Amino acid sequence: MNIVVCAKQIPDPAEPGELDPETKTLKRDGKLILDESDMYGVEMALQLADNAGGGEVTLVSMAPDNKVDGIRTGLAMGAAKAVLVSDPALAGTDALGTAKVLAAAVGKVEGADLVLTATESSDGYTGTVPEQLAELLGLPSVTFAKHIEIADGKVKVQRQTDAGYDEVECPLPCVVSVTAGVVEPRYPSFKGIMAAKSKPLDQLALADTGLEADQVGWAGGGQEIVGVEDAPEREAGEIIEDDGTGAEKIVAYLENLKLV
Amino acid sequence: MRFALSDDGLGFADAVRDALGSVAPPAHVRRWWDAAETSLVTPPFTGDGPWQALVDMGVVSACLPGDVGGAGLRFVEMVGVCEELGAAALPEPVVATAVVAAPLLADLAQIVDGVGEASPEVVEALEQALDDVVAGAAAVAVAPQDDTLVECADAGWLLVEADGGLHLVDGRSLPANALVPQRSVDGARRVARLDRAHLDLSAATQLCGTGEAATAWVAARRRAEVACAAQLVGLGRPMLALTVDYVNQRRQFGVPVGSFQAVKHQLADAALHLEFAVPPVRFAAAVLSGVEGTEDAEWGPLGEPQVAVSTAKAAASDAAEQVAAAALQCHGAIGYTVEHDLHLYMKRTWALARSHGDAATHRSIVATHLLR
Repeated sequence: MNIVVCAKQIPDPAEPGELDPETKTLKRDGKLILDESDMYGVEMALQLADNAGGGEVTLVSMAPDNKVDGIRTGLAMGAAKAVLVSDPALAGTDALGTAKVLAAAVGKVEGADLVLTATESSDGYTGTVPEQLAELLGLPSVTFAKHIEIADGKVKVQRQTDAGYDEVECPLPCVVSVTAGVVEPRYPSFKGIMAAKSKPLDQLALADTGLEADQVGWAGGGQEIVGVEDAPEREAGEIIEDDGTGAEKIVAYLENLKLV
Repeated sequence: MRFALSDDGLGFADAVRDALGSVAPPAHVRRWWDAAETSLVTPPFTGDGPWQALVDMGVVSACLPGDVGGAGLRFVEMVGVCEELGAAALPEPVVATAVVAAPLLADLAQIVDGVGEASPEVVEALEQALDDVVAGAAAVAVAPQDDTLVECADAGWLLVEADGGLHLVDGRSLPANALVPQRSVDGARRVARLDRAHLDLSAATQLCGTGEAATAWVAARRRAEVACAAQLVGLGRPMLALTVDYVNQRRQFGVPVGSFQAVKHQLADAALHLEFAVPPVRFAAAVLSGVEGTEDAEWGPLGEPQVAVSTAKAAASDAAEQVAAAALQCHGAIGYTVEHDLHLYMKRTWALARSHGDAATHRSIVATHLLR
């Protein structure tokens, strides 16, 4: 059972995030850590591989400046190897572009039976990459898994809904996005941390993925960030002293807002 | 000489901080405080909670050799972990077991193996103790002959220094009155005094003569001193963070009190003092681990392990106490309410600053070495 887990490396949410006024994107030049929502995927993959009696868990990630700190955490937890795509041309890549890059990276992993992702990243929150990835890979996808079992070449998923959960079956290989809480992620062990440094980490540039520069980055994005501004400060409210006409003034105020 | 943690050391410390952040929040420390109201018996801690999380991560057995199930780490790689265990004010006896007693057990196992005079019972006990550390089934503590407090009031195993030899005693079979719990200023701490009148030391518990094990024993005591210093440095960080937060919230004359020089300079001084205590602690750990460069002739007598150790403990005790005092004062009245988390860190600081020799004791040790 070979499982690929998409793992995003994000700025530490404990530190207040900052936007770069030049590029109008999140500053990612500090240390990046493994997105907590991806730890569930890593743990789930490790358990599924274990239950299947063997197989490898591979991490795929796209990050600026060949950052590997977050990937190392996943390797320390027990993943066997990782593929990292990093290229200056990827700056500004939108969700679809990210899915293209991840699909290319998944394609580099031989014999993947299952691809796991989080439902959304903790810094971007688009929540669209898992389905885009499945489409690009030509695989069926199941989203919002809160429980996963593998049996007879199929994946059985309890799919979280507003009212409870649906039971869904899907043939392998496929893409499954997991919710936080699907499993309890383990803490990396000291031996795992030491071993992580020597695990294979395949670092790819854009050219290695077979994608062109105009398919990704700002050029490939179907969107443009035209400006970044601070949210306006809340203005002080109007204080009405009740001299007997308070109610009328409130009604007038609400009428002005066309609420009454 | 580089004082920063190695990549591995940093990775271990980060992992422990992350884990303790979720399994050992201040509320956990407070439960040990609350339990002390009625009884000084250590709350059960093995098999669950932070202890088990750290056992699973391999923290408790990290300094044991690989062939018995450890990770073969040296003390210098664990010093950042000790800082984090201090920063969480963790009540469980992880430091006492992981970096003090467990590696001593491993050293003694080697000595006993070489000498070959120990009784089969104690050899078996030694193996069992090592297994217990790896499985996390029991804490191990050391009981020096100078009547120092035993760092865990109900250690599963006790390494006892006595006239003529070192003994390994099964803590679970000790008579109830042998380890007498002592109340600490820190309600989450569980220390005990060993009443040797109720201790039955015999050939069946003797591991080896003190002579053969002298080096290992002294090294363990020095690790205890530096580990204590590392915890003090770690304790300073949450105290500073809590205080900086507080003085930014609390307003007086329309501005945060942290904007007043009397407050901010005091905290800046405390932060500086704390940061300056870090290199001596890291250096002492490096010296004890025989890191290359620490035996450098240029250090002259300063390279002597005990000088490095005592410098570290003196610096860390002073720095952490200064942070504690500044934190208490800058918190104003709220700092005096025991319900405030500051107390968890401050009282641990008070206890550890005086444990394993206070700053004055260690300064006089340094003076004796320098002036002889």
